[in-house]
Amino acid sequence: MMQRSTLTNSRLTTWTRLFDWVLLVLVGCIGAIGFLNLNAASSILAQPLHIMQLLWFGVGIVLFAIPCAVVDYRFFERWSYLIFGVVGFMLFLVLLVGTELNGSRRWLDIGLFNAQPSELMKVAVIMMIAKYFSSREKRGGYSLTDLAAPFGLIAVPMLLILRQPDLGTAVLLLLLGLSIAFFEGVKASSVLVLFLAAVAMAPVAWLGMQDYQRDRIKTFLQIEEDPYGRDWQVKNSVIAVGAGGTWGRGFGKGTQIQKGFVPEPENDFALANWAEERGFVGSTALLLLYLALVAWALRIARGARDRFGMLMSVGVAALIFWQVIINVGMVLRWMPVVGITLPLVSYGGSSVVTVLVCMGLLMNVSVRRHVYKS
Amino acid sequence: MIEQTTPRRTRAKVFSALATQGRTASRKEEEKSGVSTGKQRRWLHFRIGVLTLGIIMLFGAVLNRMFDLQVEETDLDEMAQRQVEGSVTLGAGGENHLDGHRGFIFDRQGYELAISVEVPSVYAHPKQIEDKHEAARQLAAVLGGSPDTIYAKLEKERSFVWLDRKITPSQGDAIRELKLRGIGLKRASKRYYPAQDIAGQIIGFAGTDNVGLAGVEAAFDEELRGGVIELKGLRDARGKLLLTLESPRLNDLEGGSVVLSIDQRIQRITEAALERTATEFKAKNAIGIVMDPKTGEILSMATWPRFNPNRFNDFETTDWRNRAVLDVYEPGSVFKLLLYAAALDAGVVKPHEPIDQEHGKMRFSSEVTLSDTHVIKNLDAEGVVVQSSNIGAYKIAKRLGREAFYQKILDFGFNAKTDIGVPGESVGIVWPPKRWAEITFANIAFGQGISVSPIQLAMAVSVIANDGELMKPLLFKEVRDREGNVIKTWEPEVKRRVVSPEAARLTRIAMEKVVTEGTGMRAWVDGYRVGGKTGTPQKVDPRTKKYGNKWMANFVGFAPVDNPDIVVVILIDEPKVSHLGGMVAAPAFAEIVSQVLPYRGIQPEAVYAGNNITFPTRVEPADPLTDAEWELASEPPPGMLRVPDFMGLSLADTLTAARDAGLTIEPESTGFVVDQWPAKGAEVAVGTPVQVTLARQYRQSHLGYAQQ
Repeated sequence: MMQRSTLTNSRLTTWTRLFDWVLLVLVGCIGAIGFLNLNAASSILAQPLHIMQLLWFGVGIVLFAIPCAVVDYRFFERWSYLIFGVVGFMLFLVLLVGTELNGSRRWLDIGLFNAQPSELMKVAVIMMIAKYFSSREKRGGYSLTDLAAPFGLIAVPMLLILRQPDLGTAVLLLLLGLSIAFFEGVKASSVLVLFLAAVAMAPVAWLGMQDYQRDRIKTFLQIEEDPYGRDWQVKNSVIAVGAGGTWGRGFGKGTQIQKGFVPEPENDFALANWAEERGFVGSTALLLLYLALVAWALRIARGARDRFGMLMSVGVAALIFWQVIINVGMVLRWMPVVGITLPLVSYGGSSVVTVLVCMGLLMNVSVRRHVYKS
Repeated sequence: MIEQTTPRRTRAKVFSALATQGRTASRKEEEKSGVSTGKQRRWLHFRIGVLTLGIIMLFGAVLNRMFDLQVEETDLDEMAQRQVEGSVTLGAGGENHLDGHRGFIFDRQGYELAISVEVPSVYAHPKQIEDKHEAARQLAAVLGGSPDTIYAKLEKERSFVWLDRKITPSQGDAIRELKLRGIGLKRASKRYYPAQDIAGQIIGFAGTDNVGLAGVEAAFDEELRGGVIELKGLRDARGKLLLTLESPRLNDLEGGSVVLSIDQRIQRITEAALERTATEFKAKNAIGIVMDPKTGEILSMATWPRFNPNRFNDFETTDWRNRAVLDVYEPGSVFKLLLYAAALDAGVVKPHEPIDQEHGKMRFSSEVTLSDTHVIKNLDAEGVVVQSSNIGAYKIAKRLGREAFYQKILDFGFNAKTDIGVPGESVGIVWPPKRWAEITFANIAFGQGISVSPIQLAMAVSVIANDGELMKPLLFKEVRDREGNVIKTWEPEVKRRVVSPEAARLTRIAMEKVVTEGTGMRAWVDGYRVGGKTGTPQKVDPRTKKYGNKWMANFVGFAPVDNPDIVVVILIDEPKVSHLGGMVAAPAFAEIVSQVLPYRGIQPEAVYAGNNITFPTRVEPADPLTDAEWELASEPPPGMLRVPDFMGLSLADTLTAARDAGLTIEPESTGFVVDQWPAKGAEVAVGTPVQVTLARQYRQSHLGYAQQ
């Protein structure tokens, strides 16, 4: 272990030696696709969104991803409850003084831009849950009493986010928590109880929903005729994907997107744009990139030097996985439209920064993976 | 990868270096919660492996779906194509419609008889209107009519509805002023006939949708109608058509134009003469044709009562009829001149060969007697025409023979279409000689028992005027395409020789005598030698199917006799005050000839008639109406007015004149008006500002320049 080495003990060399190039390449590729895709969407929206996105990437990498990668993640581990609390407080502020847009109050105006604390909450939840379970390893899975405390904590931001209202993100927080918990293992009896509780809660949840959320679900389940033409738009999203064909219709030539048949081609339906313009080949490439990213995150989890790093990586993998699956589900009309973005491809500063923070954390865990292995 | 490239030994040191960077790093802590035992590690690897596999399978499912949609299912891209590709037809009706600009109809001098003007049409998007009652009330105030009717239209469950097509420009401005949401204006092309009722029945009219419904408008609808452009465009999600695939060549919407052989000036003269005659004699209808016998060109073709195509709905459909071509009449005694020419041509009579008049009575049977109203003894063959003897005509016809007479009737162009190019032309009735009873034969000799159209009659008379050759009648000169290139012309066409030049010349002499000493003395025109023939056919009572006491007064003729320039046919239907052709129709003939010949530049000559010799006073060839005269004669389209002449007026007078006219003035400098824009006579919308330049001194040269 303490053998002499010709290696220069400089930090830079250390980083270049251990740097996770695969992760960087994956993030770079996905980000590049996002940039190209926004370039096409920009022409319809008459805003240089791709340039803005590039700016957010810069800001995200320099101000967030690099610090998150460089500072030993045990620092975050130590402060994870505090981070969770601060972001939770921001969510509380959103409800008080948040900026409202399209009927939702999701943003905090902090001078230069509007921040979306619910996005940061995803990271905070990952950290909080990872911290909680890292010190409570249990053979045979967790019981309900073990789960009560962390999910009680998650319930607070979930409720705050539901009030915004933003069903998608709230559900995503729950999914993140559940993913990590189930990765660690939950007792079979507890699973059964949770399932029954979920079924029992469904009507309550229904009553607690906002009208537009119910409409979306009703529309999706085809209980009711499409009152706002939403389903028509989603059907057009499917048509857009199908119209792409094998090779795509070419840059800026997707009529479904360019003529406004598909809503939010820069955001929730960015994939429809990509699929129409680049076809099956392009969409497969993008999806495989995501798959590789998720798999790579899990691989990093496997090699993590401690349980916190491992669980946090699993959480990030879960975040990417769920966002991609839900978003694809929306675009392909498998799921109701719940406003979950496609990581690094959908437009949005908070979304990009959040994912980049996650990537920074992954890098952090990855670089420090072998410390206790040998 | 790093594992492969970095030797294990060196790595450890690096890791420890990294590990110590973490300020909280503590080996004990790490070991407590670390993933260190082999069993735990295998369990973790297993879970990650299973999870990765599951995720791969889920992604596989997504890709499978993608494959289905994008590669297998090909109708989705068709669906996408279909919903963006709308085609729009311009020039037709409907929301996306751009009115075709119907081409003009000109007379032979280039005056517009039919033009297209752009006027607004008002439409509504009912769904966008918030307060429909209020909107209806405000619209009714501008458009007239009841708010309820408009409200009913606004209530329709449609996204688009026309409220009023082709309103006046001032109404359009008023509606624009209302600034009502969901109410819009579209420019539309409206047909306008500047000459009002002049040549109304020839021109016919085009309906609200700019489709020709009668007359030349219908006959040349295809040429006049603006083209139809079908555009392929992309439709956006709101269904709005974005014309991105091709840009419309709006020029294609312009229609071609038709130039008539009609001369509006002669048409005016003819219509005025008909109106005066028909009014004076309380006639039912009147028809007049003026034509050039050498070319067959129709110079005027008038039907009274008048018809104004601008207000076609205010007229009875019978008033739309161009009776000169569509209706048939028994020609009466004017037919005798054709018989005379045919007999001369056949050599069966000589002009001065006596024809026994049987003392004015000729018995056919116990019941039927042929008689003449006035009996003149010792008539020769020419005299039969001059004095219009029925008995003489029958005798000449008998010499000619039934078959030869019948053949000549056909040769003159009767019982056949003249191919003048007016739809629905009538051919008339001429029975074959086998079916002629003797009395029928006699009747046909003086123009009863057959029916002919006025245009057929005019063509037959022009045979005499044209030295025996029958021309094809020409109502049109040319058709031009939208760029003004002539794409079709009508050239004079000889149909056939009917009689010899000599027979025609002798007939003309007889016809001149009709005017100088015969039944048509009221056709006399000072300064010109004219020839003609009267006719007073009895009309068959449609109920009794017998000749009753209704008559027509006809006159056919030409002038000058030696070298006829025009042929004129006048038919006055059921005149009441008097019914003799020589009394009723001949003066109309004279009225027309006396005006048309100077206009055509025909010099008067010394005329010898009986004891009278008239010496001509030289006339200057008359010009067609000047532009100014024409402008005064024609009304501007609705909502438009003509700019008055402000030249030479002081500023105060100019302002007064402009206010009276409904215009505003933008003066420049002081003094008197030396220039104005738009120029006088220009058609402008009410309220248009007129720029006038004033100068201290009224300068002739400046004025002259401005008037050019």
